Amino acid sequence: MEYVLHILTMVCIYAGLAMSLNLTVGFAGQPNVGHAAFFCVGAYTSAILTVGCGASPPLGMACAVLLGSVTGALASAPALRLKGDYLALATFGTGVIIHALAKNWVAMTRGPMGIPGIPSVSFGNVTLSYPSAFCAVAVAYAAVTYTLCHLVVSSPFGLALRAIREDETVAKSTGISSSAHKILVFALSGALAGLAGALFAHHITFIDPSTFTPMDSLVLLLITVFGGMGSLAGSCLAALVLIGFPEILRYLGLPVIVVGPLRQMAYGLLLVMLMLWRPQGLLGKYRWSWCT
Amino acid sequence: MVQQLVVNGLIAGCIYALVALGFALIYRTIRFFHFAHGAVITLGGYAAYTARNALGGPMWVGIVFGALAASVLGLAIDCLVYRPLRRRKAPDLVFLIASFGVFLFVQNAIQLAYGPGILSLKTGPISKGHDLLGAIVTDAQIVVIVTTVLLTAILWALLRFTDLGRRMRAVADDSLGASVIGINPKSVIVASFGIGSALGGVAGALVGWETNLEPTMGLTLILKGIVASIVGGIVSIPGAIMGAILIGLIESLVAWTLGAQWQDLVTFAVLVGFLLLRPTGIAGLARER
Amino acid sequence: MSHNTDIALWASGLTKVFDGVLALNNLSLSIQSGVITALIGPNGAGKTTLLNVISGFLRPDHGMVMALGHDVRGMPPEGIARLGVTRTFQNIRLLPQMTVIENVLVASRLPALRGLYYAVFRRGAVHAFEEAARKSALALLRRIGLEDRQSHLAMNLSHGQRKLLELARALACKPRILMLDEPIAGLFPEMVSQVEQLLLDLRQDGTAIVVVEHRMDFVMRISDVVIVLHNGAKLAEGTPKDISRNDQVLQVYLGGSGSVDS
Repeated sequence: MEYVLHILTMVCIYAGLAMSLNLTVGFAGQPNVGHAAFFCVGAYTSAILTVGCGASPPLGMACAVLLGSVTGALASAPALRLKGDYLALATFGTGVIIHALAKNWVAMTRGPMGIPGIPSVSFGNVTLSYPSAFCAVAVAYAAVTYTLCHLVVSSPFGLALRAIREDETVAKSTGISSSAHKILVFALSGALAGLAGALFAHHITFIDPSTFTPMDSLVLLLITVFGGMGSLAGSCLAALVLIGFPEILRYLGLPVIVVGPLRQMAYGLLLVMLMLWRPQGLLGKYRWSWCT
Repeated sequence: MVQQLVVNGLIAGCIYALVALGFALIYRTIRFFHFAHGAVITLGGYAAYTARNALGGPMWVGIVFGALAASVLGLAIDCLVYRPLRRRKAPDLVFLIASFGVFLFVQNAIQLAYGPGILSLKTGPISKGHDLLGAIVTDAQIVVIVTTVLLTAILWALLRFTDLGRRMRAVADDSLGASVIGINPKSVIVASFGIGSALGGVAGALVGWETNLEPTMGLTLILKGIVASIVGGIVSIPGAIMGAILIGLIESLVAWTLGAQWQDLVTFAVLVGFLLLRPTGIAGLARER
Repeated sequence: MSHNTDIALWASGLTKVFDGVLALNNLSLSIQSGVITALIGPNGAGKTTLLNVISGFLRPDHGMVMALGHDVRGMPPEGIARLGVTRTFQNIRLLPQMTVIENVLVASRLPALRGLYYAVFRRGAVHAFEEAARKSALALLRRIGLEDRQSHLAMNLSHGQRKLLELARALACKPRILMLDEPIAGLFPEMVSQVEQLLLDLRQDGTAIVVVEHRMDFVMRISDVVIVLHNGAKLAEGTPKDISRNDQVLQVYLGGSGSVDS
């Protein structure tokens, strides 16, 4: 039972990550292959503040949101100048840079040794170390993220995002400031992903750079693309399938040294198959623009 | 001290040059970032390792095997993944993401097969190295330089003097125009992937000999190859080499001043900087997107 | 209040070079409010380049543009659009995977930060805004004849319908300067008269209208002023009657592609 709750918690965290990535990639049409950077920043912010400075977890999480949004806004810089695969490459580079910082800025992050002993979330005297209580927090996070994203994309702001996605020239010609919209959507995306990072840190109670590699950004992109661009429900479904399902592999008793690469191979294969046969993913509403 | 820095930078630059040459050769034909080239390089290294374990013999046997294996993989990727996408007229971004997927798949397949640990192609006692104008250069490093120069010269001659080379240059300059005058891009694509991937395989094998093999080596190598290409002006062959040497020297400098662990970050910061400020590279020959 | 003597747009000394080709050659012109100005000339004369420069999508190498009293040199296209300068595109640019009504709704914009804030914290204000925008968008679609297609995706429209949709989007921006790049190319006669009537109504309201067109019958019918461009420079300017009799213009058209009378 505990294990099921753990999986559910992870699914919720990754659903939030996928939905926040969908904002930039699916709705605004800005390919971001460095999303794990925001996840990383959020996780380390909360970990460092709670372990290193004795802050309470809610404060750590709030700072994770803040720093995630700042990182997001900064990471939007390439999107203001580049498009298509050049933009994808630049965002990938951003992910590499953040990962390198996590791995090498040992004074702050303890490098490859990671940060252990991250406290579980507690409100007053009630400590949420029981799996069920923390799972509730994770579910709440996913629900809040879904609601927030839905509110944003179904509003005039969301309409502007989609216009930028469909044809940025047209959007600009009607007076939409594509730069302002891009910065804001990246900031929002970063904030939500940062919160996911903080939740992850407090749930697993140990983080190290190996969770936030550039390859992990690819996995996040896979989840979003698999669920479908422009579909928040799709992101949630994809997280369930792609995160929940492989956990079952552990039950099969395969050694970890095999499960790790096998899982990533499956992800890679799925990515290729999606691009070949169903680029719109499961529930995707928008097709990649097939005319240059 | 400075000489050692320069030599180290040159050695790294040579490896990156081989990577960048292969990458640029392919890019000129297909016009998107063939990120999976990183996995092809990795396979080259590991294939060289397996060949030497199985066959023994001098180093060049391993290198040749690495080049061949890499070439086959590169061609297979084009045939199985990129060609169908070309038929569907997919946008560049779809190609790039498919390329990422291939990279993920192949790199992990290699890790599954060989384990996550570090392997080396070095055999025999560690040689002392020779003194070259105040810097120490090992045998492996000399081979790296010689191989790079040799292959670059061969590639240059190929592009300049052979019929295939002319066709490759025509497609690189203007794919549509080339097809109008009857040059079949398919043969050029096959040639680019074959030769480019082989160059990558050599790079992988040389890295395995000069330093180490590990399954994740492809990522840093392809990123540096891409940085070198972009810095040098993405479609320019001489630019790619210039960019590679520059990156190698910068890295060497960073290793000396800030510490080796910051090399990657500085390199990628250079990449992001170039993409933002000057995507046409220093040779300025790339087409604007 | 009559705006007939107001100069809405003024450009001076515009020069633009592409890859060694002189697209705009020291071009100067002025456009008046409440007047329909036609911009004609053979292919490559620089008409679309001029529109791109005025709307901010291209920076000229030299020269300046004053639109509605503002110096728009260096302004981003969205800034110029917000001043009231709207344009359409030669190759019809729409938002293909969005519906017809959404294509028009984009014109009723909310500034980015405010839009995000309202989306989350002021749902009431958002609803009011959306209701008003929807109403005027529907009215516009009704006027243009696309109301019953409002939920269709833009990419599924016929050529003529797409042209009308782009025009609707331009009108929804409530422009004070409207620049149309080949607005009636490929349209059936009924649609052409529809567009004509719309433009005449706009002129009545004092909008400055610039029309780039190749169909001379249309140009002669509706324009008050005709400017002829050739090789990036102004060849002639005058009333339609004057231009149709201008020897130089006839030379350029008969010597090049197309004819003056179509």
